[in-house]
Amino acid sequence: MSKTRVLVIGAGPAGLSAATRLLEKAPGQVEVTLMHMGHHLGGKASSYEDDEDYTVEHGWHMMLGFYRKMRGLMGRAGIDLDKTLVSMKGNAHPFEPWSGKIHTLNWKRSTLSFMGHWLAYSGLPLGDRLNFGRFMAQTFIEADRGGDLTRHDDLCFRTWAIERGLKPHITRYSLFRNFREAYFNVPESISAYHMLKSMKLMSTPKRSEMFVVRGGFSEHVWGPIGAYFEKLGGTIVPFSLATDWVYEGRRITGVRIGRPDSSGHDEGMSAWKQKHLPIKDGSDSVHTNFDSVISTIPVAVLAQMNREDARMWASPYFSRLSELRSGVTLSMTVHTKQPWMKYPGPVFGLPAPMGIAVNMTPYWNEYKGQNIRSAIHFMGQEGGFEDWSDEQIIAFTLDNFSGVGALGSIRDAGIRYLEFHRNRSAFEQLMLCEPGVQKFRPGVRTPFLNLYVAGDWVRNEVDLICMEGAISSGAQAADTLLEDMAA
Amino acid sequence: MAFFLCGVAKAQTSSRPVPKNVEHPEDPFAGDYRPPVVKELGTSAGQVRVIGLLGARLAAGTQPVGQGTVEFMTLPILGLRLSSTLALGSEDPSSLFFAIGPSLHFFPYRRLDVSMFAEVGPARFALDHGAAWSPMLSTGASLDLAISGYWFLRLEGHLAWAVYDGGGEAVTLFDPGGTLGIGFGI
Repeated sequence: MSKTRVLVIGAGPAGLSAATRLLEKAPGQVEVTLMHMGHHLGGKASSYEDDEDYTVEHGWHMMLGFYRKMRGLMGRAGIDLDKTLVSMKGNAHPFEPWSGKIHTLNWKRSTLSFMGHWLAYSGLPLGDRLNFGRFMAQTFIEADRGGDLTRHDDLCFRTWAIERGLKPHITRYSLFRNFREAYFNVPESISAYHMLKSMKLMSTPKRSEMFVVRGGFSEHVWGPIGAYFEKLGGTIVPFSLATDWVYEGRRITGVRIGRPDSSGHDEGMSAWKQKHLPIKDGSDSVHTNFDSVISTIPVAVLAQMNREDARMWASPYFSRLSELRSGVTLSMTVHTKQPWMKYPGPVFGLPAPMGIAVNMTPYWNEYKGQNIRSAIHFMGQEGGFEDWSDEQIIAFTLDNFSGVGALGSIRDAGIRYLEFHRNRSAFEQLMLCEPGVQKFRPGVRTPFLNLYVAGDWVRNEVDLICMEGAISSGAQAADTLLEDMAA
Repeated sequence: MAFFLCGVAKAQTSSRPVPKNVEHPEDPFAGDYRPPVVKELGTSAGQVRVIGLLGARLAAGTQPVGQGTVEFMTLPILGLRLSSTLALGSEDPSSLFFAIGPSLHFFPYRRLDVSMFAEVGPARFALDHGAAWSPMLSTGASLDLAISGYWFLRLEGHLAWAVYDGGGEAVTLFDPGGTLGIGFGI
């Protein structure tokens, strides 16, 4: 019996998850090719080395305790989880403009212990603390109770909270603002469904525990998973950018691909500056060597494919996809000669566009033994600052953090390295979890009988914009394809 | 396939110069970082209100009472009250009363609020031949004055009604009263 040829497009978490799942569940029945546009695995969660041999991330990533599928995949790929992952021990540090201070919260506690910790928390005045605490307890109960949480999707979380008695002024504290910032959803509002789903998945200290990897994700996570995929018999084809679908009736018969222009990743630039990626002249071809396709292309890119095909984009399925908006993330790494910002967990609540920073010096192996006293990873989103130059955003961020008394000036700590990128290309953008977005998110199946979609933007059991969501969706796409093969 | 594709690739980027003294437009979200100020008053959905009151009941002269009430607001206008009333005077027929019932608030989110309530529950009656428990019904009205986002003053008037065993004969009690106290709503 001949094998079913499956083309998986995209080598981010969803693509790697789908590709390995196919070979794990149906060895000997499928022939899997993983095609991707870049030179490193991991998609939006990837990392690479720059000219100075420092690891650069597309954006800072962490794993949470509830990332079970991701841990499972890492484990099967032979990654030693104990050596690769390190806990941030539940520490988080909100900066509150009203106090001008960085406060400390620690999640890794029993419920009773956390209640006591919360009562003593200095980031909110007592009345606000009690009101916020009562609201959060009620919300966790509501989220954990079960039932269909998607019914809350039409409301933004702020309105949802106020309807449940959270005092409106409390939504202006960093602690509340962070709900949007954590999903890079600023300045847009975030759907109540997404917050409730987050709380459902993070309802215990174990499930909400934050872990970081000992170095870049491509080196420590995606690379080994890619090698595992190859060991299972899969084939990886890099530098292949899918630009259009070729179809006959309800079947995809080809994928038009091209080699990204040399201004792009194949020559090693950190990020393309333009939204639509250029194709090298003469590299255009149509790939037809497949029976089925799992596309893990981000929705912002998918929405640009076959743009001239008015009939396709007028169809209910594809016109619905056009409604999904994505946001531009920002990432910056700064190394200093003197120690700076010695907090063990993320510091957040500083002004946008980059209001979150993590000192990764204790966590990354490559920072040990070097003359780097602090390696700070900043992150945020571009919304509202689209017209600002890179220099303006960098200076504004450094000044904001330096203005916090407890930190002192980062410039005075002696900046010896600064890397910044602005993920403006469509393939780098993250879907915004806006209110009402759920009804526009597709499932795994598409109107094309042999095309399946996956990614954190596709409905899945996690449904959050995160690596676990992408991995869950990839696995679901693979399972669905195998079910259809068996039918 | 070459392993380098699964490992770490090199990129042609390097450290940028650190910008200094860069002019930039005004922060579009500057208003978001102003210190939050409590402006909200009155009842709202989800609120828990804890109230301590002192006052008197009038069935057997003026008898002092203490009352503790917890009110869960299910909607901004509809609450569920849990009350306990303790007689502080020796002449009061009812020494202890636990009650539960709904309350209806007419002016949620406002500094001045009027509500009506009805409660029912067991009451302990101290009698010559011992103590007895009987059901008691209480209805009344409250006037709340918010003095901050969280604290409020409450003036409450009520009428309690019960029929209890007064040593072999049924005794009907109508017990009007009033209390004044302070509450905290979160």
